[in-house]
Amino acid sequence: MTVGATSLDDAVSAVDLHLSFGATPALRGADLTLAAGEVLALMGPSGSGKSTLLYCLAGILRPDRGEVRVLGRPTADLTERSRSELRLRTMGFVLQGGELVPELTISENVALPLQLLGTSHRESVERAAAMLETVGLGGAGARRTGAVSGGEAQRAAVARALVHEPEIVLADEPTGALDTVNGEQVLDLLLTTARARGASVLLVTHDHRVAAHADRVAVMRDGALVPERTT
Amino acid sequence: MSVSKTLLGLLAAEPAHGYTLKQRYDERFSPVKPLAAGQVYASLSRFERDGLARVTGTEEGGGPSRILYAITADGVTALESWMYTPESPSSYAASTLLTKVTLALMSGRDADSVLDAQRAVHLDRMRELTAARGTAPAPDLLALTYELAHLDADLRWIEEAAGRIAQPGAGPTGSWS
Repeated sequence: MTVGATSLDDAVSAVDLHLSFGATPALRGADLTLAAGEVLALMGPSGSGKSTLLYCLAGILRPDRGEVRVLGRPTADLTERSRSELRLRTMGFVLQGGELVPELTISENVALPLQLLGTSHRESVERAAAMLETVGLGGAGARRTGAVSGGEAQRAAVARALVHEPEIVLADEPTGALDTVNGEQVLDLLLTTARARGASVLLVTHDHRVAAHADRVAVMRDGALVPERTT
Repeated sequence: MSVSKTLLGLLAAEPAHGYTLKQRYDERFSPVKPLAAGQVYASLSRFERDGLARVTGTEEGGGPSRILYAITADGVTALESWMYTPESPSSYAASTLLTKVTLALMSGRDADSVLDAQRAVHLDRMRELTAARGTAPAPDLLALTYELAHLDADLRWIEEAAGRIAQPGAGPTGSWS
């Protein structure tokens, strides 16, 4: 079993995570390691704990028991503020529906992580524009989120996740709301760009075709990881 | 898959001798498990006997002379009759995996482990094919996407089976034995 093996070089690691919502256990001893530069797909049936584990790794949920390390650093004793800061600096997120801010333009959405990190307005705008070029949305920066297609919105979400050059990208069903062709394009874009920047990617998906793009596939069942084959 | 009809189909593409036919078959349809040469020559003899193929000449080379075969009009009729007759959907129902899972459940063994092991090798193969897809030439792409689609279907069944087995009363002993 290799899922529990961790090292200081790992991007994120979870050891023996337990978390219950009331009387319902969501995680029951989950161990997971995302190595530096690795693309790892996390699969499992609905309710197996995939998204809960992802939110624990992101520091959004606190496990009842167990340890999460981000870039080798334990997170259990961090304050909420420190967790948020760590998340902002080191992580990018791509969620199923893009989750863009509807009041902002595409460009403003992409620039958001940079602005939250204190980057100057001018630099944020320039880097967002460059990132939008990378994802093929060079001409769409001024448009509102409601004026772009689902595929374009998800490309913008990829741009926003990567614009601040995070070491870790957490993606929860990033192509779940797209048709096959758009889904493939967005996935290809996400992985190509993340790999080019050396980022690690945790890809939560129920789609085997999406998982097949990863370097490794881990499977969850009943709140824990199914042991990997060692052959 | 009908080996003899497939060989006949390869002859319909262009005349060939036995060795070339075997090479084409292995390369296109069975790269992992090559066809026995004897099976090819036996099929060619049967084709000739039944009027589905005829000898059109011999090729002289460094070794023994090679008999060249071509498909006949009757051969084309037989080939097209097979080609345009749909396969029975039930032919996909009998798989070794289904047998193993059923036997595990019937005998009170861990069926999840059967599914987990199969999922892992299916995903490995899917990852290989997905990586190869970017650079595969067009003729290979068709075979590659066909295999991908079937692996995907198998995997969806594996997930469904795992879900059904997890239902109370479904296993391991449930009503299977």
